[in-house]
Amino acid sequence: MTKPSALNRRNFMKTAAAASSVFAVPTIIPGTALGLNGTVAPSERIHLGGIGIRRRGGYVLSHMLEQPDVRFVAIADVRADQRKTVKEMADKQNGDQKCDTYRDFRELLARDDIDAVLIATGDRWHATASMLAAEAGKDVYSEKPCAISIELARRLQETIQRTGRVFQAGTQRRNVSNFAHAAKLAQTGQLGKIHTVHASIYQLIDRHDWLPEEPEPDREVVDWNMWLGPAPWRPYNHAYVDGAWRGHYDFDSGAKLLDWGAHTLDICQWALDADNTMPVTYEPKDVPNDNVIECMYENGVKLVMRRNGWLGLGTCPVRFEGDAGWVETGDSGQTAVSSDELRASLPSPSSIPGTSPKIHVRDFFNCVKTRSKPAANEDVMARSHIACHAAAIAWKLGRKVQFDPVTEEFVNDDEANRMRSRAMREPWTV
Amino acid sequence: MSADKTCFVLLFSVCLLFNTMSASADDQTNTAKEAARLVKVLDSNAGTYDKAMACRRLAAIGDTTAVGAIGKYLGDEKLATYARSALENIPGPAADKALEESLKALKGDLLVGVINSLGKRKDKNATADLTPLLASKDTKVAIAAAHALGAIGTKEAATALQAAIGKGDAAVQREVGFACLMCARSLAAKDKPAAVALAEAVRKADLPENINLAATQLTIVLQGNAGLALLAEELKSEDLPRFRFGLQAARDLGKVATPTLVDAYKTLSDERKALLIAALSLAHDPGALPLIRAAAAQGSDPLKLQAIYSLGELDPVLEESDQLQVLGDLFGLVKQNHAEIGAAAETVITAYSSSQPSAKVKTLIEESTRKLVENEALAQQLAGLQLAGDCRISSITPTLLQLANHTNPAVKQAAIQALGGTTSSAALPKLIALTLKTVNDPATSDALKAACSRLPLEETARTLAAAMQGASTEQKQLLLNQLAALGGETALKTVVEAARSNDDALQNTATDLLGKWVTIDVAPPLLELAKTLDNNKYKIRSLRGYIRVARQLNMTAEQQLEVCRNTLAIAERNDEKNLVFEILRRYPTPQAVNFTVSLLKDKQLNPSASATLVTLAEQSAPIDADLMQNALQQVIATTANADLKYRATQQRDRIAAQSKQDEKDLGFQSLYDGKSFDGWHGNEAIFRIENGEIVAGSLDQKVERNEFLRSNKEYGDFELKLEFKLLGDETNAGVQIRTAEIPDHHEVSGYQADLGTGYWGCLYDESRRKKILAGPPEDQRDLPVRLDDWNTYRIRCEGPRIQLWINGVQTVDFTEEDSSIPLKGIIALQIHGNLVNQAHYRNVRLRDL
Repeated sequence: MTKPSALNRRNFMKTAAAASSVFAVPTIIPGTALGLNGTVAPSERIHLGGIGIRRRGGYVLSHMLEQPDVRFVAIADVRADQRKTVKEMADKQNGDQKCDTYRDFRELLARDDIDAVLIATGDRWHATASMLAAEAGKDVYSEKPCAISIELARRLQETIQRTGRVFQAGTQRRNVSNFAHAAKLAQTGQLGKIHTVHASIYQLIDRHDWLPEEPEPDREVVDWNMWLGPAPWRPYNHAYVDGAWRGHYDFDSGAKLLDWGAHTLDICQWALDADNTMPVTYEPKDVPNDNVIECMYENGVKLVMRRNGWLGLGTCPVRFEGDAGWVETGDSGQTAVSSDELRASLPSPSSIPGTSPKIHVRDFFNCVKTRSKPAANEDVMARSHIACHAAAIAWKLGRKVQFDPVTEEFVNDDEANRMRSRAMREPWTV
Repeated sequence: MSADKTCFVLLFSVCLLFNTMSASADDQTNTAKEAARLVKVLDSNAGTYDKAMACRRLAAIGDTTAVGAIGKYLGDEKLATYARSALENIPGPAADKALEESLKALKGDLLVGVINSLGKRKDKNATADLTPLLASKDTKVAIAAAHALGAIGTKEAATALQAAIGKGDAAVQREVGFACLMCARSLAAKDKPAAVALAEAVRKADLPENINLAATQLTIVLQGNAGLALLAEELKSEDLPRFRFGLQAARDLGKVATPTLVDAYKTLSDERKALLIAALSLAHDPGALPLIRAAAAQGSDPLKLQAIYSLGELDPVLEESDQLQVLGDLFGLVKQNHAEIGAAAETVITAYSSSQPSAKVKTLIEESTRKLVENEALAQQLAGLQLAGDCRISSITPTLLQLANHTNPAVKQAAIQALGGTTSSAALPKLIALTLKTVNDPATSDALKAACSRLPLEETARTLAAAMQGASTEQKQLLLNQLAALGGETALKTVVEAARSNDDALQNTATDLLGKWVTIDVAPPLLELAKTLDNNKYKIRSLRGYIRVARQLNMTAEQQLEVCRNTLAIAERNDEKNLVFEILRRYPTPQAVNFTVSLLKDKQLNPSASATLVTLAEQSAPIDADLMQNALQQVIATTANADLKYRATQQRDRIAAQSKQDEKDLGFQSLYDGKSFDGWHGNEAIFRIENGEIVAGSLDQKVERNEFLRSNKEYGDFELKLEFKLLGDETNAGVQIRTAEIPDHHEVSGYQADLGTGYWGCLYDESRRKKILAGPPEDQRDLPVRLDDWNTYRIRCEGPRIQLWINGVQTVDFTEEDSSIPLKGIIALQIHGNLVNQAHYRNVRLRDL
């Protein structure tokens, strides 16, 4: 398969960034060109379904419901209360009572009137549900982390390409102006030759315990078997379903490194024009009680993943350092730079925070129509997710590992390579 | 929970902290031993959890010898996934074999699982067994077989899959189709004709449209130039999805597809033309420029719009002369008085101006914009104002300052907004003056904020601060907001001054802004304000702002603890005290744990401190196990809350069991049996055993001289752990390492991991260089130590490197540079002479590195 060259991607984003940072115009393709000047004929609307939508998912969905050319028609969720909440949200927007509800998302995927799905379950489901959706002919917007292992990230990418679907990872900072501008400063040489980039991560946790067993609820209320999905069996405890699954190996990604890393390392890759590669070494640093992982690209550029030492620019900060200056930015929308010269090029302060998927969802729907690749497409997602997983594996092993970005395997390192994949619980097949 | 459970938990977390760089022969033996122990667990009647974790660990370290024990669980509904995770990862044919054999024994979902695992292993030998399963009556089994064969991806697998096309129920047919495409993709590198043939076979089969489209796309892309004819056909299709997939294929082909796209263009509807233009521009082929310019000039409105945006997309690949022509077109479109098209053209002009334009391009934009601003027609003037600001054309600023007083509110508004983009440092005072005149107009303050955000930092701050002179309270508040948005030294100083002023409104604004400051230099003034302000409301606000700095901003662990200490020293209300515990929970460093333990003594703070420590344990915070156990022990001893006591006990026991198993796996061995001096020698008049502890010295009279309890054996590279308790007003003791005996002398010579007043955690060179080789700064040495109580020492010697930790806090990381100094020797426990003091040691254990 021909992969889109780095050049295409870069230029696409550069223009998109320029447009969005100055004007907050969503992307290069305006609504009107797609036939959505004001009202959109029902037949031309994108029919959207949702799988596993709660807090973050609800926030993303609220932006999707705003789109004039999108109609949300069905929700699948293992929890009855969430099915009800999301249906109410959609019905209110649609002005009817027609949003269908399913306990088993396979019934939703079997409908041929649904064009695209929003997947916002916990991590354990993302890749499997995305691949099943792609084979069912749906385009996919999946919350991050999109894959719980290196092997699944790779397979998800292959499946999206093989099925010819449009895929957008929920790493929306690619479509947030202050992050775009920081990346642009690095890409265009305004920081000089880049030597180090920094990606924030949150505290790493890798739990293998099981919470105490509780009686399983009626599956129409909470379908525990379906909640577990491709994750291995374990006894039910309500806390998992209520969000306490985070940090548990079977349900989380890379000891939680991907929680922020899937965003921040991704932005670093972008800033370095490194979307077609990834670091080749990953070394956890012995900094007491801090999570620092130093990575190195083949060209010698260093990538530092760390928890602490950030300016107060909000969550998910990144920092790029070159021999002519540095830039640091985060979710607050504020940007700090090293010199007055760099200040001069800053876009006007943005009112859109880093957590907002406003432009990102529009990018996705535009691509559903034009069949082009959105900003956080499957190639971009796979590489940055795999790099995050490699870093997490280095941390788990407590030692430096070497990685081959082409074969996507650790070099002469059986121990690390055996951490690249996990079995999927039967009967799930993708 | 059984002891076995905890041992597995730690394998994945705690033990990693001790991992070494390369797999030595010793490590391999240890791994083999561990694997053998795990196999025993699988063969025992241990519980489901223990077996699951055994499989998990074997996935990482098991070899052929573990396969039999794991294979038994392929038919176990709860454990099958764990077992397959192990078998999927164990190298060698034995694991394949175990999976292959279970194909016949299993049915239903469990069979599906095994088929998936074979696919994951790309087990070619399973092809023959998997092929008949394509026809299984169990749809899930047939689908899994198709996927597995697709993943295996060999020619044999392809043949089997191709033969199955169109057979079975609809779901199976669909999956067989996709599996064929999976095969085609993996065959493509080595055998392109076979890959194309397979993709063609799927394309021609009677399958749902989404598969047919995917097959068609693959057929085109695999063939490259030879696929262009098929691409042209797809682009002519009536069916919109088919047309769109054609564009997708063209994208994957890259620039070779440009002529085909251009050819297809003419006969298309405008809607499709727009889609095609988008695809062309995304390929960044300047060859598409004439067509796109024409569309921007003559197309229907929607097509025009797309073409305009596509002109923006092409910018990076255009020559200067082309850029100038395009900009000419775009300014022409701005003048057409079509709101949406004009706005699109403005967006693209701005994009050109912000992507490092050449001088000529810059001049063209500047001059054309000026003409628009000076145009008498309102729409054009407004467009010009918008562009002037967005393209940051500073030479237009004087005109804008005049228009900011325009009678037409639309012009006025647009001019003010544009000033945010155009104002230079020289013109800044004028914009400030304008803003201060209209304090309640958000437009002017937004413009000022926009200007300040890109002008030189300190210079801008000084200009704003200077304007404070003689300004009204309201104006000052506005300026303070502007300064806070800016940050930096001058801004901070000015806002702090306002917080100290005697104007309540200013104090209100200033303390509020300081509470949101984004850099840590705000901490000292906030502490000062919290101590000195008279108004209680602002005092508390300052203290809360101070705590926030530690919670949210870039502080080191030391700085955070300092904030905690300072806050507890001055906080009057529980609300603020509780925020301190939030910091301690949020940043679980060993220092923080030690500090929290020290707070247990305070009756008022004990409940919060206890809860904090228990929570840290329950969340498996990455804290040294010895330290955490010790901390929990203190909670148990001091808390009055029964629930906390229970939880602390649970956690202490869990961590103790975990760390015991951990140390065992790492090869720690006890050097002291708790009842005799076997393996040791020394002055037994001074060293004795009491309650299982090694005790030396007395609290009634001075120990006359230094005495050492010495190990019989010598140690080179090792990790040593022990617990110590020193009693006395002034204490001194220590642990000798890599030390030599001095014949017939009470002294020994070598490194000492020091203990005692003024020396805690230092590395001292006893009877040799007679000085402290390394250690924390003097005023911080006793911070991690709990006086009159048990503490832990961890000592690690590897090559020339010596590291020390007290209660999990690292105190020394020293590398010996004198190569004549021996890196091997005895270990000896010291009691220092000439002091009334007593040293207790216990739980001494060591592992060789």
